[in-house]
Amino acid sequence: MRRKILTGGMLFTLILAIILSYNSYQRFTAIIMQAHEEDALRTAKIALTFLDADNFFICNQNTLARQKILYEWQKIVDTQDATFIYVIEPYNDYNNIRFGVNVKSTASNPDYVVRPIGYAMATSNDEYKKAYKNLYDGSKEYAFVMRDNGISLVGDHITAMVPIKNSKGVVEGILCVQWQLDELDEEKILFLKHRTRTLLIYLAVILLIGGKYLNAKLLNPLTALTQGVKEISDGNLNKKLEIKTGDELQTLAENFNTMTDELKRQMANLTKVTAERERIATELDVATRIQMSMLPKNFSVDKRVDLFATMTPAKEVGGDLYDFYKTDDNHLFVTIADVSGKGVPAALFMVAAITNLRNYTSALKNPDELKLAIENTNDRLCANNDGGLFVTAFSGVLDLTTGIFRYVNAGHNPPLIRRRGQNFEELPMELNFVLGGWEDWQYVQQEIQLQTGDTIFFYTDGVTEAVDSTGKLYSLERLQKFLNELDKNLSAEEILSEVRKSLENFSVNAEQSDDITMLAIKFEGRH
Amino acid sequence: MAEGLQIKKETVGESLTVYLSGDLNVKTSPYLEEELIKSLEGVKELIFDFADVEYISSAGLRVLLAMEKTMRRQSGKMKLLHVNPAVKEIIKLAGFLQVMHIED
Repeated sequence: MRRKILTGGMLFTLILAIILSYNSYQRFTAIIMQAHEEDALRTAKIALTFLDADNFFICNQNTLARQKILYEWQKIVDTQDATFIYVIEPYNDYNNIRFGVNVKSTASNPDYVVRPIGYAMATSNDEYKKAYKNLYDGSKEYAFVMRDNGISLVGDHITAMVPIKNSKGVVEGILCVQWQLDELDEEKILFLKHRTRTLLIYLAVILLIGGKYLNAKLLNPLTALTQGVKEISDGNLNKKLEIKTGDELQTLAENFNTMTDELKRQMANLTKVTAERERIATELDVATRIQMSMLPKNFSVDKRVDLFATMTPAKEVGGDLYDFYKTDDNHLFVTIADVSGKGVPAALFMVAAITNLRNYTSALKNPDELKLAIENTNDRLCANNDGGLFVTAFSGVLDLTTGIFRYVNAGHNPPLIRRRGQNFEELPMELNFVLGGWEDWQYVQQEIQLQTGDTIFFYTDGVTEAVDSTGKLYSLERLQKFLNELDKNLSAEEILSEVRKSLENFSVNAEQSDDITMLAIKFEGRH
Repeated sequence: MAEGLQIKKETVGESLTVYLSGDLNVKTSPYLEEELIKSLEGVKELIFDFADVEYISSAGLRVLLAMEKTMRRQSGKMKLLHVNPAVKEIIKLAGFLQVMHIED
């Protein structure tokens, strides 16, 4: 960049110097030439005054008049740059000339000799011819002919011519003054040298100052900017660009600083947000584990039942739950439930639901009055339920001696029951409202008699609403069909494992969007 | 606009009709609730048109329940129109038919 600008500047300066020099050389030559022409013409006019045009022929005789003219003209040529003053008379249509009186300077070129009167010669060239003609026909009052072949040719001269007119206006001849230009070339060369040198010096000074200015105002800040930006892009966000040029570069640097600050702020923010997110994720993970730990895992609860349950949470901490426990030797409580919504609020609500249910069922004087515990739990969950969450729950209590199963369904999917040797059917179901949804709700309790070998399958909608990669639901029909095709001698654990596999096959390549909870209980008590 | 659910509201006097199209699931329901909360003030009749609703999850039920409660608090009424059988079954199962009015 710097090299380019400097090279360009120097080249520009050089070209400018040449153009300017040539231009002034041209003008100088023209002015000098004009000055010489004027001098020559003036000399010619002075010389003319010594001639008597009306008695012009006299001067061509060896007379006193001629002696006087020669004397005066000699003074003129010796004091001026004139080398030759002569009179001619063209003839033969200007193609030839005859010399009249003439005189040459003492110091002039020995090539020039004083011509005898009447000396004839051919006209030197067309230029002279044209000049003679112009003077004779009166179209010009004077004429110049230039013999100049450019610099370094010696002997250049200019000839000024004036017509010799008598009082009647008739041109008797032409008076010529030859003006030597020997020094012109020297002057020109000298001028050119001097002018070019001066110009070069001026331009060099301008270039130097301009370059210094350019350096200070553009190149140095640009270099600083480039280095600074590189440092920033290498990761040093604390780097500040210090450019005080007061122009666009400074604005650019300031904008860059603002951008860097913003970048720094964003990165700090991102780090914070990421850390926060990680913290939340960790907490959610802990919440999920706490939630899972609340679900009983010891399935050998009583030898009169074969019981198994699984809960597979979706990615986020969810709100499914299952629960089973004996409140005395004879009563086994079973619950499956699904809290509306997801995340921590759902999980907390689920904990509240499971805790209340355990408390109220344990507090029942008569375990058969499950309905009371459900209603208490409902009222409990309704109080201070600002989030408007609710639980769909199926709760039952099995009398392990008689096989009577009493249950309340609070808005949950009806479990499927398989009488020994038969197919799974939905459990007869009264419709009750969900838990936590409506205060003082009166729940309806139902009961059925279980026989040995009867199996009940409880599930949440995570099962029937599992989706495949095209968004199709697993559905109750598919579940029912699948269960009915199973070997009827499978244990509770095996049934759940088979359903689990079926779901996995169905939902391959699809994300699990809801908790999947299942509980199977096989009554083996009444023999 | 939540992905999977379109909501169009139409107010005539004190009656607000909400046309729903899509699924009312755990993702779309919070959006519906947010949309409705700001337009329920002074409403005496809230009508949901369920003609284009194919599925409702418990999260959707929760929003309906919250709306029902809100309407009752401000002495208004809420009803559901054009509910398809599958959705109606879910609503029925949760026991909501006993607190909500579904018009056929």
